[in-house]
Amino acid sequence: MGDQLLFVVLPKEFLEETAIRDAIINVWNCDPVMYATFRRDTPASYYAVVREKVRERFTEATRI
Amino acid sequence: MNTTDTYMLAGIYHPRQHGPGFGIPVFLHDGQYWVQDISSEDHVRQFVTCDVEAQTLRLPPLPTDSTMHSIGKQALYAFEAADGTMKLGTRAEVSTWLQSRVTELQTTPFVLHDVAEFLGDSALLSEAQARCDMLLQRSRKTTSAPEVTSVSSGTTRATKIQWEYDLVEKPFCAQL
Repeated sequence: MGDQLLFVVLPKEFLEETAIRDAIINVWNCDPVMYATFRRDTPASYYAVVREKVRERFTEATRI
Repeated sequence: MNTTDTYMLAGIYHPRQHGPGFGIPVFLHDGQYWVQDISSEDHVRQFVTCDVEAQTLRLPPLPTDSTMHSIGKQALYAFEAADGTMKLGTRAEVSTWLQSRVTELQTTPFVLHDVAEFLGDSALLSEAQARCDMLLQRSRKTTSAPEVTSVSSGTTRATKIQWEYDLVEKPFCAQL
């Protein structure tokens, strides 16, 4: 998937894993976009969080 | 779902195989697993079913009154320390416990960042952010020389970027 991904949105603590950091940064050559998960309620409640993170990235990149 | 129903704590789900990190309290009721839907005031608004396998749940701390839960009560949070110690309690209880163990999280900056947000501690958040940035920077492999792309591969890349934009980003942006 190298050069095909723009970024990976994932819960912050997964980046403690060296293998995950390496896959995102060096193998897939893209950026991690992190979000906090301490509320720990329903998985569906994070859809809006992920959508907002993606929107922020596109805004930063002046895509929108 | 009845508001007077009680839900028994079945265990804590933590997506990583070890701590430190926040866990998800999972409850058992009517033979199904449930998680809390938490209001902005930190109360349980409702319980919603979740699909989880029993063997993936960590054992909860010793049974207490707090293991029986119901709608309207203060939400429960869980945190697993690096040594496997599990703290379960209200936001205030878990906050107090975390504040006494912040020093243990210096080597796990992303978890520290989560904890700083949970505690609402802006100084700790800045410190954690700096550590996260440093670790991400160090993770980038810098040993290889920069690749010089040929004209044709550059053209291919440009075509691919345009293709990605047309097929992926453009429709996504249109939905926002």
